[in-house]
Amino acid sequence: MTSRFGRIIWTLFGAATVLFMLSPLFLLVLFSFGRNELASFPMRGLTFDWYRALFAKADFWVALENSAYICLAVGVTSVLVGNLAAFAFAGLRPRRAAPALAAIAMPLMMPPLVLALALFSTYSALGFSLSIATVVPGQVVFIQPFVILVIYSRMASFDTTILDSARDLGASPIKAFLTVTLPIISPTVIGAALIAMALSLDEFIITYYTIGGGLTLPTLIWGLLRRSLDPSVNALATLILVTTVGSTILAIRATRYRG
Amino acid sequence: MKLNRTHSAADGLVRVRSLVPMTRRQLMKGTGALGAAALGMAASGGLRPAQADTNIKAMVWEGYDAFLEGGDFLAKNGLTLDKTYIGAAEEIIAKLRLNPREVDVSTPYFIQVDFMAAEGLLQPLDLEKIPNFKNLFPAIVDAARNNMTYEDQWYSVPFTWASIPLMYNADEVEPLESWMDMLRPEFKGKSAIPADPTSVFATWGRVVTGNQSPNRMTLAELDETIKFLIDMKKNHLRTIAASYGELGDLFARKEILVGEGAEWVAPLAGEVRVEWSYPKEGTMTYIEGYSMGVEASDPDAVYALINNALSVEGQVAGAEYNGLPITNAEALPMLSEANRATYPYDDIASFFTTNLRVEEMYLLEADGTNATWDDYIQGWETVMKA
Amino acid sequence: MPRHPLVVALFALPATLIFLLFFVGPFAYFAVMSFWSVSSYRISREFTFVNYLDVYREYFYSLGFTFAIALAIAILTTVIAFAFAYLIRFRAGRWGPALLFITLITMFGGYLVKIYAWRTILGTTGILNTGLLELGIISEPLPWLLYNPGAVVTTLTHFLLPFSVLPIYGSLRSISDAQLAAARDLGARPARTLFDIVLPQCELGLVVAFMLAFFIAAGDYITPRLVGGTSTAMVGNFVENQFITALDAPQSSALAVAILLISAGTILGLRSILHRALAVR
Repeated sequence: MTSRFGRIIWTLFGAATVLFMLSPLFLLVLFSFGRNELASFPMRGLTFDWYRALFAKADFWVALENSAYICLAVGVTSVLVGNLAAFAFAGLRPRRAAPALAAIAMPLMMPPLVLALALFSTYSALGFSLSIATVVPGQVVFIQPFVILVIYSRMASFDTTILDSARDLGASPIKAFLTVTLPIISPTVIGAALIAMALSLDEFIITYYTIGGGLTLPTLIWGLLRRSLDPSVNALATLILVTTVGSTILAIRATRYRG
Repeated sequence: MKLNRTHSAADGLVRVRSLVPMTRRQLMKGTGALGAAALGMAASGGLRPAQADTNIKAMVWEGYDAFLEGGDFLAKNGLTLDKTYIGAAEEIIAKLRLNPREVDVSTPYFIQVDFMAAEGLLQPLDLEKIPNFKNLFPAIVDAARNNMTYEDQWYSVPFTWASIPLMYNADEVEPLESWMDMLRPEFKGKSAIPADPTSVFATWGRVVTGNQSPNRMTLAELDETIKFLIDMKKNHLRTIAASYGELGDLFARKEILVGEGAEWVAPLAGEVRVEWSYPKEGTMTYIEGYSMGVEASDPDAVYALINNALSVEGQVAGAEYNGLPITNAEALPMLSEANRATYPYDDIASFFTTNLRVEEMYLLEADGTNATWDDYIQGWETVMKA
Repeated sequence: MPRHPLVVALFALPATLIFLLFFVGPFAYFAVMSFWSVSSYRISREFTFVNYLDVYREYFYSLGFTFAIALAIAILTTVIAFAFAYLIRFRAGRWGPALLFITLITMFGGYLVKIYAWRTILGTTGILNTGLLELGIISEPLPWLLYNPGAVVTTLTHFLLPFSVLPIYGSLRSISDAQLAAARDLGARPARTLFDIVLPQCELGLVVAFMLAFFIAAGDYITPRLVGGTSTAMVGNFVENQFITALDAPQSSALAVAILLISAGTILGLRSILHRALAVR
């Protein structure tokens, strides 16, 4: 009796939470195809006009390009740097690694606005000229903790005896890394890269204050929202959702196919 | 019961991040494809058509770039605008102070232009290099002169203007004559003001204190206005709109029936018919201009851009995109019917002189009686905090 | 894995450099600024403590309000996130991966766009009100759904939930089913199992989830502006307003330092409370 009651409660809770999480996303996708200029019901039929309007906007392509560069640079940098750091921390005893991890995760504990203003003031005081390039380290410092934590946790459960046998059989450290370590951890590394890129793609405040001139996708949306609400913003959000979600689904399906 | 508690801090955050195990191998594929696409894009010179461009850093409100770009000017002249869409005009001051090289052309708040010029943040403009300046409506040049010049030099040139009238949902509300009508009981919880302290104080300061120069109130008058605004905020307003565009959205979603807005907000309300009146107590008008940063990288290019914004093509493009009026008299015949019906082009002079006023810059130094700029800014915070 | 101290140091070097150059340095500079003064709209490097006095005099209430609302959001988010992660890990069976996938999707879509989506749901003519009217549950739209602190809590909880579910789920994965089965077989009641086995083992996940939610909520200033109505001015608004509009970076900096100190205090306090509460009896 209790168990059936429990199951009903859990089902209701799960359904409510899923509804809570997905309904805003569902709406923004829905209204990107709606004829309504205002996101409200009833829907007046379907259209691709908002996508056309989006693609016709020169600023959209500029922002997409800037976002792509930043995203790629942040992804590559934070994965390279984060990977090395994770390896280093994995080489330490857990008791010594913990404070190091906590320290490097400090940027996560700070409102991004403060980091943004601090970076903006510092770059200015030092006379740096701002560009896409100055956005990258600002994002990396706040995204690399995610990467380090992800890879560190994988390394912590890594069976080092395999490595030792490779070394015993005469492999150089680099060869052992390339042939043994890398293949084992690469899925984690790639997962970390995806998270880094997703975070970078949505990062708004640090970018806004450190880019100098030029739009990215989030700063473009910010600009557009100030004048009026236009469903082409929904179209843009939908495209980002479809790209990120689509690649994950494809990944899952392809795995099943391989068995 | 002794449990295994050896997991580290990292585990918590992360284990999850490795996601569903079965996706891992495949994530590789997806990322690979994404990376390849991005690399391909980079290799092929990006999404923009390749051009060896001069990059001009523009710090403007979204939409004001349409004036600069009008008539395909950028492509024809090998210019690229690196845009920053601002959220507050003061961001321009902050950036020009901290990092002047980062702002070539901008749209500062016209009230603050002489302050910025005195601070050495802007370049005096050589009107010879902006030939279209001579085609501007004389009434607008006159109205803008006090704010946009400093020591007889122009530091900003007007490209559009409008006012902050009393807006109402014309489907449900009869025309209103006084700002105090916004406080009628039937509009309780159905009204809004914008988060724009300058226009709020200019509008309501005059209503509350009768001072006809609301940017030059005494400390006592400012206090009175602040108290009034706090009462209005707590007892009447639905919300304080983050931007003017937001007000249009509020009308469209029927969150409000009345509000302090701008003429160009009306069409943003979509199907809701929004109209406006210039109440008897007076309405603040504003004029927007382009200015050149003190360390602009390529002054000639900036002059060319500003001149284009004042050209017939630039004016029409910007005016139609934003629903704002023009300043170049020659562009008038090219304007849409709707734009010409919205703004009083045949009598611009009285637009700036009757009950509609252009305000001057606030007092900068405290004298004990009168409120300074800082008092206004802190006053707005007092309103927000209450 | 590197064992030699030199190699370890070398590997950690790039990340450490980035951390020092782009976090420690800038933040230290920004924090030093909080002791500078401003006169005639210009910053002068004269030492003063007045900015901190003003934090106390001018922003005490806003700080209190901000921390109350951030605490509410963080607690709500962490509780829902724990329950949901627990559901995924132990109750959902084959639906688990799907629920996890949904959680991941929710991370995407964009912060600003999500705020606007919530206005579409909660507004006077929004989906919730329209639906309730159609169903005859209400006769007038409910205006209090939007433009008040509740709307800020709803919007931010939605934004933060996936970021909180993931770390908690991560720690729950380290609890084996065998442990739970053993507890049950030994006659432990569900509540006892929860408090003695499950919660202690995911303490770190809970802390990480809570921290992320708390810090992001405490530092946010855009959500309250767009859905918070007239009386939801969080302290982040003033950090920005002082820096930009008031041309008073020192005051902005003092406020930022105050936020950090209070946040750090809150987290440390919470950590010790949680630690004591979940200590294995």
